[in-house]
Order: sequence, then C-alpha cells, then structure tokens
Amino acid sequence: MPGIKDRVAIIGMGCSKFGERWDASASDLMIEAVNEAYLDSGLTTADINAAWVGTASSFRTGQPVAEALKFNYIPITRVENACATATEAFRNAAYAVAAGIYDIVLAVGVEKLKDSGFSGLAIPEAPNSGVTPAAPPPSQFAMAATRYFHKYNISIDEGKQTLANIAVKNHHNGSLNPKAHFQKEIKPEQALNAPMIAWPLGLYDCCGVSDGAAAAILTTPEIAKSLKSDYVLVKALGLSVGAYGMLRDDWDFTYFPETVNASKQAYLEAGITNPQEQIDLAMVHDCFTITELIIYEDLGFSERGKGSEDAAAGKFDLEGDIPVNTDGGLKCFGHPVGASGIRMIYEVYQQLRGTADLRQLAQPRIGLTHNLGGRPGSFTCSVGIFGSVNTT
Amino acid sequence: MKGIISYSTYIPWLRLTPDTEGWENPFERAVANFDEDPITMAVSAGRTCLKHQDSKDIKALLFCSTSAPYAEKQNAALIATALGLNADALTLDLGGSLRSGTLGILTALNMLEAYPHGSILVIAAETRLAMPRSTLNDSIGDGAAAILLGRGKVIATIEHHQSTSSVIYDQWRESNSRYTVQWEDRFVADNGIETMVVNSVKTLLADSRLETTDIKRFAFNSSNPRQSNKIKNSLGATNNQIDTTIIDKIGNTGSAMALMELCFSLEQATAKHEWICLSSYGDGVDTLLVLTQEDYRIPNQIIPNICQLITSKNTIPSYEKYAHLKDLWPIAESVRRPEAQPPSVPAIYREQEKNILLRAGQCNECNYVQYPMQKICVNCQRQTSYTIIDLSNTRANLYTYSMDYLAGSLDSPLVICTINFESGGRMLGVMTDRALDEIYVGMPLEMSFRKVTEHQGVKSYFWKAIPMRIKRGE
Repeated sequence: MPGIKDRVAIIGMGCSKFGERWDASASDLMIEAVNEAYLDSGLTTADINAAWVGTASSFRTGQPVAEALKFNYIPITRVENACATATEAFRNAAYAVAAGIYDIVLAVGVEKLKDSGFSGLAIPEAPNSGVTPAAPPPSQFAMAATRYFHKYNISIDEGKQTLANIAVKNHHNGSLNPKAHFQKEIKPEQALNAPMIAWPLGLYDCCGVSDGAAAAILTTPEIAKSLKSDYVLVKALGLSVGAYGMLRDDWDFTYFPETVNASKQAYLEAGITNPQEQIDLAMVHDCFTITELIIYEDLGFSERGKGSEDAAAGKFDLEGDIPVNTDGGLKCFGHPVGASGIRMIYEVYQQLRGTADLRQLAQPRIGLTHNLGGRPGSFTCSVGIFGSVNTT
Repeated sequence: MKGIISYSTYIPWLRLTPDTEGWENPFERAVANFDEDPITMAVSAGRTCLKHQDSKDIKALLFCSTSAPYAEKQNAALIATALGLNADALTLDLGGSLRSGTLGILTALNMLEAYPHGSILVIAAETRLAMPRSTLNDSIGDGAAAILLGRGKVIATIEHHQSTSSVIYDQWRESNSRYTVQWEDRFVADNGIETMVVNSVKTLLADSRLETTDIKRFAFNSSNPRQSNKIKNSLGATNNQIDTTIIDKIGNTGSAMALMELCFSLEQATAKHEWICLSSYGDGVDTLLVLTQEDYRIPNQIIPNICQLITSKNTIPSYEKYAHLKDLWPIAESVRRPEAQPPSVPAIYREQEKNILLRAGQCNECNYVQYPMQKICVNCQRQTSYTIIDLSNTRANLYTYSMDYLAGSLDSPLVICTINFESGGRMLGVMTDRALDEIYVGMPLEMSFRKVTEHQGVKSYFWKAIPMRIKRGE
C-alpha cells in the first residue's frame, strides 16, 4: 500500500475563536475559520475544487457550506464520524488530492452546540426501545477511571490528583492561547474540590462544550511548493473503528483498542518506529482527563500503568519530552465536536511552522493528532501525523 | 393431592420509617422505588417462586392487582413473558376488589380441575396511593406475593373456603383517580372488615367442624394492629394466633396482603397438618382454611423469604423524597438535559428476548458468551447459532461504575455500571436500590426487572442491577 505519506500538503489553515459564541451561527463560525485559511494560503473561494465539511449535528448536508461560502457549484460532502468527524473530513479531502482527482480542496469542521440550551452534548438518537441507560459521556468515561484506579491499585485520592495534574497542565496551555474557550490557569485544589459531574470525574475533568470551526486547505506537495515555503506535509492518517468493549467481558477499560490500532496504522504509514523519540508534540482527545491519561499509554508515550508517573514528572508539559495538548486541548480550547480534529491539526500546523506564539516549542518537526469519538468500548479513533516541510 | 407447591413474596427495599423526616408514625411502610410498579414487583415475586420449578409446566398466570399500570392492555402478558412462561399459558388480569388475590387462588383451584397436569401461578402486587397525610396514606404499603398451585410435593392444601360479597362504600378508587379514598372510619370499622371477617371465619369454622383453638394462625388484610387485635378478640383467639409483623413493617398491600400473610404463615409453619385461617376483605370476604402438608418444609429453599425481605431495607430520608418518588411532588427530569426520547414501540416489540427475557447467547462455534446475542460472533467472527443463557437469573459482579450527578434526577446520582455475569457476558446497566457507600468494584449483583422509560403510556421495561438483596451464606 503506498499510503498517504508526503502525498498531500497543507497550505492554509484557520480556526475560529472557540467558546460560547452567542454572537455567531454555525455559518459565521465556518466563514471565520475559512477566511483565515484563505488569508494564510493566499487562495480564495474560486481556487477550491471540492470541499468536505465535518459536523456532528449542526447540519446534514454540504448545502449550508455552499450557502455560507458561495462556492460555484463545486462538490461538497458532509461527513460525520463521531468526535473524529473533523479529522474524517480532512482524511476524505486528503485522499481526494492523493488520488489525483483534485488539485486544491477544503476541509472544514464546524459545530454550534451552545444554541441547544443543554449542558453537555445533546445529539439525537435513532428511535429505540429506550432500555439503554441514559449514560452521558462523563459517566461512560468515569467508568474507565474507576477501573484504571482499581487495576493499578491507585486510591481515589491519588487518582484524582493525577487527573487534576492533567487539567492543570491543559489550563496552563489554554491560558497562553487567545482562541481557547477557557484561558485561565487553575490550581490542583480547584480541580480536586470541584463539583462532581460523574464520580470520580469532577467539573475540571471534563472538557469544554463549545462552538467553533476550523479549516484546512490541502493540495499536492508540488503545488504547495509553488505557493509557499512553509507548508506542512501529511505523514499518516490512521482510522480505527471498534464496538466490542461491551460485547467482550474480557476488555478491561484501561486501554482503548481503537487508539492502539489507529496509532499502529499511523506509525506504520509515517515510518514511526519509536514514538517517544520521534513524535515532538501531540494534540490528543482529552474529552476527559482520564482519557488523556489512557491515551499516553495507548499511543506508546508511556508504559502501561506509568501514565500518572510520567505526567507527574512533566513529560507532557510544554517543556517536557512530548508536549501534549499545547493549545489547551479539548479541556480548554473547547470541543465543538465536528471542528475539534481540524483544530488539533491547526495547532500542530502552527507549531511546525513556528507560529504558535507563547506556546511555541523549540523546533518541533513531527506532530501527532488524535481524535476519539464514542464511548469506552465503542470508538471511532483517528490518528494523524504531520511533518514540517523539511522532513520529506 | 392438589395445593400450594411454591410461594414467595416481594417487598421493595425502600421504607417509610420513624426515621423518615416529616413522616411521624411509629410503624414502617414498604415503598416501591420510582422504577417499580405492580408489573415489576410481580416479576420479582414470580421469579423467586419459580426458582425451583419448571416454568414450562405452568398452564395459566393470574395477575391480581387494583393498581396495575394498564387498565386497557394486559399486564399479565408482560409478566408471563418476563417469567419465561409458555406463550400458550392462559394469562388473566384480575382486579377491582382488594380480595382479588384470594379470588385468584380460588379461581386457580377451579382451573386445576381443568388441567390434570401442570400448575397455575397466582401473583398479586400493589402500589396503591392515597392522598398525602391521609389515614390511608399511613396504612398503605407496597408489596407482592406469588402462589403456585399444582400437584406433587404439596406444601399446603386449601381444604375449605367461604366467600361472601357485599355492597359497602368503605374504600374505593374511581378508575380515573390516582388516590384510594375511604368513608369515615368509625362506620367502616363497625360495618366493614371488623364484622365481615369475623362472620366469615365463624361460618367457615363451624361448617368445617373446627374450633378457634384448632387454628395455628389467623391471618387477614387489616390496616393497623388495633384492627387486628379487635378481630382477634371477636374471634376469641389468642395473641399467639395472630401476627402483626406485616402490618407493622410493610403496611396494607391491598390485594397482595392476604397472599403475603399466607406466605408468612407458611414460612413459619412448624409441622404438617397445621391450620391457617386466611381471610381477605374487600367488597365482601374470602376465607380459606389452609392445611400444611408433608412437604411444608420446602419453603426453606425459597430465598429470599419474607423475613429476610423485611430486614433488607433502606429508610427514605424524608417525606419530601417519598413525595418525589411517588410523583406526588413532581420534579424536573434532569438539569439542562434534552428531554428523553420516547421509546419506539416496534423496537420494544422486536427486542423482547433481549430486553424482557435478558437472554445472552453462547456461540456454538467458540463458546464465547455475549449479550445481546449477535448475528456474527464477536469472538470467532463466524455466522453462528447460539445456546441461550438467561442472564436475569445469573449472578453477576460489578466490573466498573460511575455515579452521574447530572443524568438522573429521582435517582441521583445515577449509578452507571458495567456488569459482568458469572456465565460470561457483559452489559451496560444502571444500579438501583443501592446505598452509595456499599458500592465497590467486584461487588456481587443480581438483576431486577424495572420500568425504565415511559412516554404517553408506552412503558419500557428492562433489567437493572441491584446489590445482592440477601447475601450468599446468610
């Protein structure tokens, strides 16, 4: 299999301010992100051959994209793949370029969640018998925390402390990011004493539910070269879908096979043999602090059961060996479902090009994004790997 | 010989007790949880009753209740399905009268004549409601009992019975009302239960050539200990011949009460050929003379028994909480969450095996157990056939859990759990009837049939996990 490595380049990206955007509709958010990508790439609506839009619940088709951006009857496809929706839009767009069908394409992810009037996610289900417990995401991921603590013989207090450290780190990173939903530092005590959402997870263990949009313009490396010198190359796009955790009584909640498999695919495709050495930064799907802890281990950044230790030692801080969620992550940048994957790529893109301002790392070359949609036991997981132009 | 071959009771876990803030009464009342109704309690009683019986032998189910959830739509059919009875078993709803429980037994006795082989299951269950703060509200309790009548190893026989009907407006509930009401209690006491029960018992004893002293236990559905004592005195019976445990600790459970009293008396039988005189009052009286037989000890196998269920309880902290549970004081569904989606009737219809019978499948190719049954095995990935495993009767343990403070309202925090069954198989579930401080990873669980959603009269029933009500070895 030839794979996607070095066959597609990102030449422009944009990201709206995330948060409670009472001022903006889904279309407004999308225009905000796409305009930045136009500006970044020097391209305009007329240059786009085709577009993919990722949204979980804000609209059903590509038509609102046409309506907002006034494309000239080009192909536009709406895609949805749980919390990995945006990465999925990106993946489809990238494959179309790699297949040689189009020269320049747009991938945009958008979500307008705060108009619903509900806390958390309010995504409608298909009609059903109504017997499946109403278990919103916090309670589902909290079960992973309970079992993780149990397996590694970690007391609830110790476990909560580890999770608080992750929240504190992401809040610190978010405080350096003017586009983040939450830009305040927190102290561990704030996280530890916060109201309980789904025991053992408290308020600061849960990511922001936000409005936002992010966009990427993709092309071939040849065209990219003719347009700018600091484009970013797609190195890998792994995607793994599983649904067996509740059907298998031997799966133990402390690892997510979908993450393990998506990262295996991506590492193979990108030629990564030692992620701890070769990955310079990662934006991962920290929908909850416990998720980030498990992801450290699933991506091979930590040995099994050693995520807490590594986090406490600062391995994933801005100054650490593998900075994770340098932009604040879902925790602080926020989580507009259909936009998050491209928001992650946006941060990696900034970091690889040295434009991440206060959060800028020292010359990173390879960055990873990780998107996880669903619930423990049933996930869609995408792992993307991106490299700066000099990594070809 | 035909008679009672198995029996059991079900008493909900919750209680109004003297410790319930704002409920100032010296006695205890059993209270169905928000997810229980007469259907679910009937299933709970029925399962215990059938634990050592072959449910395929049952020719009919008679479900007796004045508070059954459906007035038009058979309640017994759902109970029969959940109990795994044959689809061709006769199913009947009996209601209207507070003595429909004993009427069920008498009907079943007659039906047995028509079925020389097989047995008849009678289950009575009630969750009656009276106006808050009324005398009736103080006396009513929730509960259920199941009696299996048949042949073979007979625990007790019903040797004689007597029935009288009467027109008296002492207690009633119109079909469009939620609340049972009663006439002024002096009139009711003098002309209702206290006279009619005594007359019925005296008539039957005389007809049966028995004396009051021949009876080991007199049992009836009284509303308070004072009433029990008055009837005892009128009968010339002694304190040893009556027991007020049920009215003290559970309450008047309507049409289920006489059956619960019968179960309690049988559980306490100490020898064969003891007489139990059971009266059931409601628009008349049924009195049954029950005689214990050779196999009276069989009840020892019936776990949990009524004494264990009486002690297995949890005090509702306040009368306010009780009012929430009974929807007397409705509260918001949950905090800033979308309204629950109404259940789909075709999905309920299609998924009976999964939802009502809680059946898992063991792959006939690789033996892997999975719930729900899959068309393609999750383990060997082959299109396969399955051997059915009944998870509703399988012991389980708590693999992991969380406590959601936003999703639930009445039951907050909602205890979301991953349940691993001892047979193999796993399900995502909710734990009900639990004290938060008793929950731990690995705790033993059992399954309990509950009402989980309701929308415009469409009720969806499913199984929830509960902590083992009676711990192993106790």
